[in-house]
Amino acid sequence: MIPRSNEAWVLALKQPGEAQSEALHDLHDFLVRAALVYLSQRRSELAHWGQQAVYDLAEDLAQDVVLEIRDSLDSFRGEAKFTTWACRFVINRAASELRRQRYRNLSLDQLGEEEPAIFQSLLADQGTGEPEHLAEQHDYLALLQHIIETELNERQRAAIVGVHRLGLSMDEVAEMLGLNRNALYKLLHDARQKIKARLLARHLTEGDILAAFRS
Amino acid sequence: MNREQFLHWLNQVYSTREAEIGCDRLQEVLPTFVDLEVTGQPPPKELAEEVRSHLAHCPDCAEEYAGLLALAQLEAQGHLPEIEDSLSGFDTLEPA
Repeated sequence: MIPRSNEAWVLALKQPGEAQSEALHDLHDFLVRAALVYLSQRRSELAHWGQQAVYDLAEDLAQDVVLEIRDSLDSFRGEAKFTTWACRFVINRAASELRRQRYRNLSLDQLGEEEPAIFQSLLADQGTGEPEHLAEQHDYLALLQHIIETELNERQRAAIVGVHRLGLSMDEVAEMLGLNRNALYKLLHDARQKIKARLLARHLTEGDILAAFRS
Repeated sequence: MNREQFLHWLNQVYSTREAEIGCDRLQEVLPTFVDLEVTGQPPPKELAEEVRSHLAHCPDCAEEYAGLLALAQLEAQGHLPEIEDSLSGFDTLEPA
């Protein structure tokens, strides 16, 4: 692949002709290599995949991304290297694809069922802490449970259960809630703001709560 | 949640900023941020704060940031592995 400046990439990709064909070809090959580097670094998530399947996935990703890049050329502002900008697309798709394979296909109802137990394992854990600390821990968890139940809406509670208790990816929880990742982030940000505001209104700092949980 | 999850979540709550960029905006600025990091140039303060705050609160974007940084570093050094090298870690035969 011949090295190209940002301007050379955009010019070649925009103008139909031999230069465009060459640029599309080089871009495709570069994206296949980039996708394979990303996938090979996540070999453990592709434990049962053979070389052909991995290569085919990289090819599919590269093809989709070439089209996406061609349609997004006007949004490239040249602040980053064109190759870094292009890689961002293929990594985003590759990462989403790997996450899709980990989907546990839970329903929203199932998330709702987990909700009352959000701090249950912590409340049940008597540990070896001192009684005052344990009582304090219990109080803080009860307070947080109360804030979550009264301040947040159903989707926010489900999102917290999904992401923070069950460890699901943002993409998976977003799909369960019929959102995209961006909208889920904003939903969770709003939830965090509400919880933080209620805690600070009670003059409770993070340090106050952490002190109770230090064994 | 177990204890570790709880303490991580609590930190996420308390480190919440009033205005945080969403995933769409993060994905837009990520290539620039990563390129600055690769070339050792300090990013503008506001950009750095926005990016780091988002990555601290979004495991999916954080995962993609790590991947893009690794790729950009390899590419900048002229060491982006060839196709055969990347595939060599996988079995040649498909499982039955």
